[in-house]
Amino acid sequence: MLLLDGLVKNFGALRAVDGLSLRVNRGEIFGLLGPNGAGKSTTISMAIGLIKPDAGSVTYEGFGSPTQPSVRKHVGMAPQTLAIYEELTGEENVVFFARLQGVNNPRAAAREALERVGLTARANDRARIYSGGMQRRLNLATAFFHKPPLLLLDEPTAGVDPQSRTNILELVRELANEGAAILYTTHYMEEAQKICDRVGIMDEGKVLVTGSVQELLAKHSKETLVMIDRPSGETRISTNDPLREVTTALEAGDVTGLRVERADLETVFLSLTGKRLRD
Amino acid sequence: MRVVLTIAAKDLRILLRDRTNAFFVIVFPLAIAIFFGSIFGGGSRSIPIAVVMESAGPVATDFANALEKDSTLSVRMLPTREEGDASVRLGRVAACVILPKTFDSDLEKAMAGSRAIIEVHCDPARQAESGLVVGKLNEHAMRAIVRMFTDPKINSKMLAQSKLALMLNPNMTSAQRERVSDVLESLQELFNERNREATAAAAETSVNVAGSVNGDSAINTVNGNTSATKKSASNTTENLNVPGSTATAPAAIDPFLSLPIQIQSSTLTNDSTEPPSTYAVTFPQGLAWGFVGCIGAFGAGMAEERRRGTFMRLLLAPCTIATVLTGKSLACFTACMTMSVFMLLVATLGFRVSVQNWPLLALAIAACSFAFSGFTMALSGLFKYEGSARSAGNAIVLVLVMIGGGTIPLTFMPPFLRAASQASPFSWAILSIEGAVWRGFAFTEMLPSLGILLFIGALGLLLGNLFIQKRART
Repeated sequence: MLLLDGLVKNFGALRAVDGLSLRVNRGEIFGLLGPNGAGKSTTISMAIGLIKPDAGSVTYEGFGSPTQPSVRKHVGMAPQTLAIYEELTGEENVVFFARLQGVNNPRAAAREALERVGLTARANDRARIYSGGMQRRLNLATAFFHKPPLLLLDEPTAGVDPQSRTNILELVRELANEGAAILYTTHYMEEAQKICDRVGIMDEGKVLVTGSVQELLAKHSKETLVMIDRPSGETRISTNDPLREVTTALEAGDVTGLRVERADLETVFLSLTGKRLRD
Repeated sequence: MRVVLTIAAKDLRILLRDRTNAFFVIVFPLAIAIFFGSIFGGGSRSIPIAVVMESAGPVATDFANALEKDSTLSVRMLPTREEGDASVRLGRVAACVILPKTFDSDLEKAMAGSRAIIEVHCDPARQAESGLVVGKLNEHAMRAIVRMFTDPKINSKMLAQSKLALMLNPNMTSAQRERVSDVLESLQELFNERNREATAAAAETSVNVAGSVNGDSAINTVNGNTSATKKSASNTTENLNVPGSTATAPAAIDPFLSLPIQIQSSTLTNDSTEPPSTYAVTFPQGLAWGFVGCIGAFGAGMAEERRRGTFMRLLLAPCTIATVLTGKSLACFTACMTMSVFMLLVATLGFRVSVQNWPLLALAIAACSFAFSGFTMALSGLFKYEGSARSAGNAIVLVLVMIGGGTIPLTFMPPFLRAASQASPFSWAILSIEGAVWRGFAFTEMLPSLGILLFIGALGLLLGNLFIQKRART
């Protein structure tokens, strides 16, 4: 559905995106993972046609390039910032964007979207008095009310309570099951592991690897991570034999703490870049 | 102390990094200082007036020449009073001065009680300037009177004409005629004697100069023509309170107790209508401030959308940026129209302001609303941050209102600012609304203002579109 091919974007001397290529298929949730400044937001801006790439192309397969306004009606976007009008009610917000998109029955579309995010009871309240989690759900509702075949969700669960997060993740899964192609960026590894069919790990403007979570774990992080705390600092050891590493450390003395972690996407990122995702 | 210095250093660094702050701390005060310095400082200032000479006599000619030479006036000579009045109506001059056909002949009979009238038709919206014009006319009238009584050729003719007028005056008894005639005879002898002395002196010295000083005024006679020197006579002007100088009917003046030249000023009237009420003048200016309010309400719209994050959603809509901008400017246009209609309803129903031409007023308001909605969109796209858009936008609008004549009469501005005022949409907005309300503009007279307002609106939309396109790419 979404095809990014060799995207390059420079801001002055800074190369924000460097030859990025990826594909997101219908019914698939593709997680784009990376630390702040990796180029995720710039990639999304190019994916929705707001920023023109210096090189490469963006294609919505079957529709064309999102630089054409008529093509953009096939995409829904939930930006990381809460892009809603606090002075309007929840329903008025969705109806406004539905009218912009040219939806036939905006009010019905708004009610359906609000119901799916669990805001029917508060539909006529101003968004200003919503909790953070409710505002985040409204932000999501304004992305999918028109049932677009492509959804770009930029940190859709940032700063929400556990209950809202669960609701959002379930809804995203539902939308994918209904056939939407979803590009999902997040900092939360457990989220990505839970709902993404495939992930791409991004750093310094490049996608380092793509694949399913299982594929990446198998390929890039077979080992277990042992973290040993000493007064001098933390030591990390990737190993196939964690018991031996722990024993050795304890025999050497001076150990103030010990942790053994199973390999996860964080470990994959660490092994690929030498740094933590949330650094 | 270290903490204090650290906080101060941080705040100063932030101050310098925000361009809006730099604008307000450095550029804006500088601009205001120069602006007010230009207004209240030295330099030439002149009030534009139209002069219509219906009389071709020497005194009228001298009077008009004196006005032309006066550096405080900028005289535009026009052939007919209709053209003079049109200049006032169109706002090109502050007043129209008319020297009527009988000006010289009335003056010649001054000693028989006849009075020469100078008509002044003032722009009601420029009362301050009109007051200055009347003051200057009084000054020049006094000088003309001095010239009349000190020029032997003129006063000899004046005495002869006055004696003739006395003989024909049916309102005087024969005893009164005789007494006044005796006085005139004595004066005639005095003037003849002085005339002979002057001629002899000229023959002796072969120099064509005769001098006579009266108060602050110095009179030179050169080749038989008189002209006043440009010496200031401001004291005379201040003390000169000519009876009947403010629209008093000539019949009410006792001719022997008033000066021979009367300044008769009135506000501009149009055809059969009465001069406009004060509210007819103030409501168009009030509308200009209403437009300022609309600009303030919508000027930060785009920056606000960016702050909210909804800008991205708007750009994602299956439409162009121009469409988004058009929608926003339509909201501003509607607000401007609504405000205008409300203000005019209050003016007409509550303050009995009579509108001369409703269709033209509707056109003027629509053009103003379009101009200011376009202007607002340009401002809206110009600034990245909401705070910048609000504060710098308000400052820009304030300056445009000031140079547009909304707060300070154009007369008090130096030439460059007066020229700059032509670029202010507010000056054109006020003129077009006044044109429909009380200036009596015809459609063709309204066209330049409407055209400029429409141009400003279109340019604003174009610039706004360019600015927002640029912002969307970054």
